[in-house]
Amino acid sequence: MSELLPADAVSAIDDLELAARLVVEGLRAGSHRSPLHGFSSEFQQHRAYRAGDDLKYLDWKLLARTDRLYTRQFRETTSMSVMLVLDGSASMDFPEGAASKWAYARVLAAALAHLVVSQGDTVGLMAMTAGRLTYLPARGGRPHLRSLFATLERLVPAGTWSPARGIARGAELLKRRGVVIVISDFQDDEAGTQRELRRVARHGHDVSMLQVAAPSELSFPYRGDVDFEDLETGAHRVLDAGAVADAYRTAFAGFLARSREGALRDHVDYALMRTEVAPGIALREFLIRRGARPMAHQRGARDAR
Amino acid sequence: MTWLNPLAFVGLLATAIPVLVHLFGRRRARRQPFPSLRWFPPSHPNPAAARRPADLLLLALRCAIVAAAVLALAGPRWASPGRAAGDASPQRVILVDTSASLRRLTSRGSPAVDEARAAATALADSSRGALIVETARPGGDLSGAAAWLAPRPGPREVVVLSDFQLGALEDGDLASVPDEIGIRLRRIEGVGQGPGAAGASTATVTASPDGTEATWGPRPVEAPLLPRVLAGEADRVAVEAALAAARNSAAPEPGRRRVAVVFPGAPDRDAMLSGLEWPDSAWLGSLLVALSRDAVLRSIASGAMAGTCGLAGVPMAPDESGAPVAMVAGVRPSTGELVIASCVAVGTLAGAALVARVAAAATGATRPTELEPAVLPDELLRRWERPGAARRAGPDAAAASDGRWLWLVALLLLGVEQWWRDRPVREGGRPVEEPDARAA
Repeated sequence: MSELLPADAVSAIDDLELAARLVVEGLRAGSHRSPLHGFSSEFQQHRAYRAGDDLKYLDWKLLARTDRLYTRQFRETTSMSVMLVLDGSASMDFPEGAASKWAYARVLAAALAHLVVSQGDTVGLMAMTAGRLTYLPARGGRPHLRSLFATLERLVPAGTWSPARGIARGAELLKRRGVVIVISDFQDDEAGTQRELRRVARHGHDVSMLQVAAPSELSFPYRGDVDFEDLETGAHRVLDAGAVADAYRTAFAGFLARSREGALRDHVDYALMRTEVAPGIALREFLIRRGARPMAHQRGARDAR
Repeated sequence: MTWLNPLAFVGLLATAIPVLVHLFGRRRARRQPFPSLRWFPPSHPNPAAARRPADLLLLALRCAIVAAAVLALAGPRWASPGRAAGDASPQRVILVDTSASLRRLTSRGSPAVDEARAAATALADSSRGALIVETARPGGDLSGAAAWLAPRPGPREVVVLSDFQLGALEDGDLASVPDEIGIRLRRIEGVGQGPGAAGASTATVTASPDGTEATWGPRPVEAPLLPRVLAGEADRVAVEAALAAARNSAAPEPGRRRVAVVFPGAPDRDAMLSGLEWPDSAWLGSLLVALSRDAVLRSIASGAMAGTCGLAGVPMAPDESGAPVAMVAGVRPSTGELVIASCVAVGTLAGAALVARVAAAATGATRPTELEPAVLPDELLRRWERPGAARRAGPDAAAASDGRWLWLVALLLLGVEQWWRDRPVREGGRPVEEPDARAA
């Protein structure tokens, strides 16, 4: 199967492994190379270019200076550890049913895990639900992958999200510098989330922020008298939805803009994942943008200058 | 205030409909789980609480609309003094008898016909609507009065103001008036034996050594207005006889008019009949009509020898062959005298009758039948009288109702309700614009 499944179709698949596989196969069908690069932030040495070397490792600056072709070599170029940090708070269980942000996030996490393991890299999971952390260390191999899928299927979104516990702890448990991909709606503790993401990025991890949003959160299609119930706090507010629609949309758009700008400022990869978009398409766009940006070590060197 | 259709008040039960819709049709706020409430403006008021007063106002408006419509259907009539008087009083046709007998003076010294006219005016003022008809034959005009009253709503009656001589009113005349139209007969009594009798008196003052003595007596009757009779010398005796006859049948009248009857053989007959004019004068027309209708002259003229007048003018009293007894030739411009040319000799019965009838017509003489002293008894008049019944309200009832103003009120309230319902919801005193449908 080479087509990218639509979001509702993927969400309807109960078997997470199957869903992840379908998404990844769809990703690969349109790509000639691994969409998730295996790279390390540690440059080791140059060697002379040999036919067949990946041109993305060609040192173009050295070529310009010396007129000779050299390939950069990194320590552990094929080994990458990825920590998936998943927000399992109650706010992710919106809207109710198979098309919820939680179901979408779960498919994203499963697809990313499948992709990483299939590349021979390691993947771990840090999920926070009902205030409890669920942790799987970063490992490779199919048994670990199935265990990860089973864990994802078992989790039920509830409670609130604590970025200090989720993001920070997940990064701590990576034994070495790796990739930290946080999948959440980031509607809790906005400042705390940005602070932790910034801190993790400064520790040398390659941080990505996948912000999940439902269409009704963006468009706010409600009208008339509506009794809104906060999914995390249980608070109620009866409002004239038509009267507050404008103000809501402005506030929510501002929140998304702050999330994006904060991520860019802190050199964190950012992607808005709309649940009506097929997860394969969303991941593809994310990975293509990620692949086009400078390497992590280069970003760090540029920042140092 | 009165109500033309009080049964319509049952419709006030319909005001319960908006109340029931308000109580049972109110929408409850639907529950909607949402990720976070932090993006809603903190100061927006609870719409249910804010709407409660507006809902009640809408409810009141809707109830008022239904109530206004029901009250309009009930046919209100605002009370006013004029209306109250008009509602109780009937529509009237007042027939004023102006026959000769009403020229008698009443005990108050004024002609009975004047008192009848005053009474008619007073009756008309107290009526909801009235028509005064002066007629010398009130009995014959009853059917016309009934026809005028028939289509009008409310109580109706015919009032006859007369001295009710024998023959003035008969059962057949009253049968032409429908039962639902009332009849009122009011007698205007004149005193005295005939027209022009009594009413004016003179005093004779005699001075004596003992004092001054005044005796009062009736004013002598003036001589009647007789036409100037022009005939041949040989007919003098006949002329005097004709004038004497005319003198006996004529009665004095103010406003004497000059008339000349020219018989064949009168000196300067041709000159008398030339150069005449026909001015537009009311008395001339009345005289011609009176002479043309004069039954006495007609009956006498029917047996007269056909004459050969050969004159121009208005023919009078033609005989069986169509030949007139006389021709009204015209008016002499210099004197204003009406010239009548006789086609028959003065010595004939027709000639004498011509003089007498011309005198009577010129002076407005009373026909003998109009001097009948006997009158209809009061018991008969009371038996003929009856009250009128109110005619059921027809198409005019809508015009009589003031419900149109309540319909206007209902329409205005409907407009207010529509505007209030469709007005934009306000937030913080500012109208909220339509939300932008674009996604963030």
